Amino acid sequence: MQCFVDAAEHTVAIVPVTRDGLEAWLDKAPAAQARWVRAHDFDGSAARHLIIPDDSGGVGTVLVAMTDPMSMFTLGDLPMALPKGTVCRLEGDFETAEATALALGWAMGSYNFGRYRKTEREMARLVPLATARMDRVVAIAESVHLGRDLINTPAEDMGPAELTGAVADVAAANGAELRIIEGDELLTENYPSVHAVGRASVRPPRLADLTWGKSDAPKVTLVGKGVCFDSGGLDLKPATGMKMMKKDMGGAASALALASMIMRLNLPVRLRLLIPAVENAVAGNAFRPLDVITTRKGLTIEIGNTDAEGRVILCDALAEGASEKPDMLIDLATLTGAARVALGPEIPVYLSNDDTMAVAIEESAKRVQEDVWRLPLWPGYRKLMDSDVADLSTTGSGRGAGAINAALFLEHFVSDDVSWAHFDIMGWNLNSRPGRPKGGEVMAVRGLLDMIEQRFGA
Amino acid sequence: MTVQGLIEAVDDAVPLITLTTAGYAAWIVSQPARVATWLRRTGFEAEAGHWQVVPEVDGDIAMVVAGLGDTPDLWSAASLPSELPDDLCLALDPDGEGAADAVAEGWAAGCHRFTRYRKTKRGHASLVWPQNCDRSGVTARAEAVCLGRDLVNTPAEDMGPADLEDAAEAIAQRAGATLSVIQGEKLLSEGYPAVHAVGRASARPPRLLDLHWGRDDAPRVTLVGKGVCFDTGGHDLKNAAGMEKMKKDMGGAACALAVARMVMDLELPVRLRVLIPAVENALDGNAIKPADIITTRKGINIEIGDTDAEGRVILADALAAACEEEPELLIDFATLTGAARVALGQDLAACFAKKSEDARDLCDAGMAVSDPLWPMPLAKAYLPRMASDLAEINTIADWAFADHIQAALFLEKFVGVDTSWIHIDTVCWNEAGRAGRPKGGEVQSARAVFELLCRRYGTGA
Repeated sequence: MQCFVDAAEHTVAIVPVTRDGLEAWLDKAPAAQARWVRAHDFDGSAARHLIIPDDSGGVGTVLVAMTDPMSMFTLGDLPMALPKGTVCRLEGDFETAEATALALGWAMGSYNFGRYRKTEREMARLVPLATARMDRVVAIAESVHLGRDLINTPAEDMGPAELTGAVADVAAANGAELRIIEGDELLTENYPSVHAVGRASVRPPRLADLTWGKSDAPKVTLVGKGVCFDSGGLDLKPATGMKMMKKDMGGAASALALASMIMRLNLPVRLRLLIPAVENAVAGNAFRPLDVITTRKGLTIEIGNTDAEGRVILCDALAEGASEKPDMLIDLATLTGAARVALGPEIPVYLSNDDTMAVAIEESAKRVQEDVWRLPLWPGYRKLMDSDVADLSTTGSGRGAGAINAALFLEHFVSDDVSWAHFDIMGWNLNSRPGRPKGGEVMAVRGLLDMIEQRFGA
Repeated sequence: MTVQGLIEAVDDAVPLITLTTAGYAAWIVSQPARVATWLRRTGFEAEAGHWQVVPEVDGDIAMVVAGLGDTPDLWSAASLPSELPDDLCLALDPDGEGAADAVAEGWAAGCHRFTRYRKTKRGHASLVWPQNCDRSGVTARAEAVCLGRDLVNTPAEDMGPADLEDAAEAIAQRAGATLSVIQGEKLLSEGYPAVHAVGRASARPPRLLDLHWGRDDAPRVTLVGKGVCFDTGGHDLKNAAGMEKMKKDMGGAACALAVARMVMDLELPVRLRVLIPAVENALDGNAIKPADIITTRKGINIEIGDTDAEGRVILADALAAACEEEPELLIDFATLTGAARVALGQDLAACFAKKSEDARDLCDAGMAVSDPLWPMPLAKAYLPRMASDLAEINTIADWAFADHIQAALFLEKFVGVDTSWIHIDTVCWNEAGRAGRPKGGEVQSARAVFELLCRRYGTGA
């Protein structure tokens, strides 16, 4: 990765200090440096750094505030914030886990979406600590960057063909098998829901089906919502609601990023990735409110609102995913606004039919410093998804609890004996935070990677 | 007030056999062919809320069989009193399943109707107090719940700050608790500027109700309840759809009073304090305005981002006052945000706690008594969204997400650093009638909190 460099003649020391550690550092520092630090009121408050000049007026040392416990994003702002072309080294004793986390935070902060214009500035680079597991850092960070790129790409250049093309690239790079079902073939292959949502677009709907790993290894199946643009369909979104809808394939991007990590780190699992890729467009042949679709599973669903399309394409993909009885079935989707109202844009929501897995998800997220929050598959709301004419409605009659109701809908397509978790994510950073620049973002995937490693071994 | 629908033993009580789905399968084979055939032919399968009347040969009622479903809860048989023939008297049959306390409490809750403005359209079937039933516990809980529902159901015209005071006074008096009240302009001299600011525009002056009960050396439990007797929204006036049910915006106060009544009736070994800021959020020339800044009781300056986010403002002063005496446990109840409903729907109240074990214990207690809550995070990362340009904090965030979390983060500012605090964002309204829970006012989360207190402090003598 460009953000790392093996060695360089001149490097600038980055010194992470905690609030408590700052005084000790100042005591040992040359008087001029200590004076500089005090003159700038640098007190080790979170998310701050200070450049200390060297004798010749160059960049000497970079002090960066470090919290206790340490944030993996301690260095996350620096690649963009330090003077262009700076080459840095990290000072301090960091054991492997910490050094790896800091390097990953650096790499995640070294992101720029350069497809449509030149990079504004040359990012600073880092000579990583010898203790960091750089192969892991690069595998994870490059997968994250890939996912961000896919989300940031405008819908015009990221239709169903481009999205499944990205899946094909990842498959080819890792020796995975891939099958893509396209257009009317979705009907003959019995993915009627994917077809119904995607048929109105001039860019035909697709389903990407990737498999990788030994067939006798534990089966992990990922499903990602790939709505390349969501106009809302006949229930057309207003301008404010439609503006960001290039990100409605954020679940697919996140699932693909996670799949990429799993394959690059060679986890001992049989991986399957299912991406229904569609554009929810308006045309004469668009599906309509109160249409009834017979899904892959045979359940009939009544379309309560054409803008609740994600759950429709997911239901066929989940039914196929669950049919193999995987050890773990995980779907990721930018599914509901209600999930954003529930936990805000920065905390992905998840629901699971398996309490043990739900606890493992929470613990893993904590370990990798991600936020996630569980909502319940509340049985009392199941009857609210009843339809008058079909087996169930896509939207139901419930007031509130939109994220829960959507998950209860999806639950119908997953068998009880499959451990399943559903993630409702934003797929987008509204604001830049250290290591998480504004724009497209894959969410919850580092925690899921850890959870899969904990369960099946690395 | 007495608990309705539960009666002393009568001679001609009809047996009521309550059975789970599994228990029914075993029970039915032991029945005479006539009974088994009737139940089979009428399609009875012991689902929760389903019941069937079994006839005698002479056409009289031989027994009533009621289903409890797979997992019995408080409400499994609570639809019976309003669905069975009026004036039918039943007695729980020892062959049945399900906890007698739960059946009795659900029964009582299912009999209650709000009769202040009209007679009930129909009566209800009655249940003989089951043997081995905790009569005092069932009575205390059911009475408190029904009282709380009545307070919420009472229209704002008849449930202003003074009426809420009267309700608190009645509850205090029957238990020998003391109630002190600070009213109107005295709120300013006594240091409750935020309560005064929100309530001053109403023709009915704001109040702070402060109830004390119990021995001084017992663990201090303090309950705070949002008592916005009607919420117009103020200058940020609600639209008609949003304002329609705003008589219920004192539901938090009703919850606090309901829990207090249970605690005092059953003499839990705690020193109880209840603080209720009772106001009407009205619109008048002197009403607070958006971007006004209030110096609160705690000295924190708050900028009013939206006059319709008034609940957190009055709670700020009440929570600060509560923490001045360092309670062992501080719980506030509030019908605070629409966002909590968007997140969790009508069935689940949202709870926040500084200590995660407090949230877990409360949610466990709630599930055990069929009064469910779900935990929500005090996500510190969202606090900067409430930055004010002029004051120490704004009352609302600068984005439209997670308002219930933003509100909880705001309230946390007014709670002592070391205080164990639980905040409950509750709906206090049943949108549709369900077994034992008629459409209308509800003290959602009150029984959960009472159960938590019983588990923490014991049930007294």
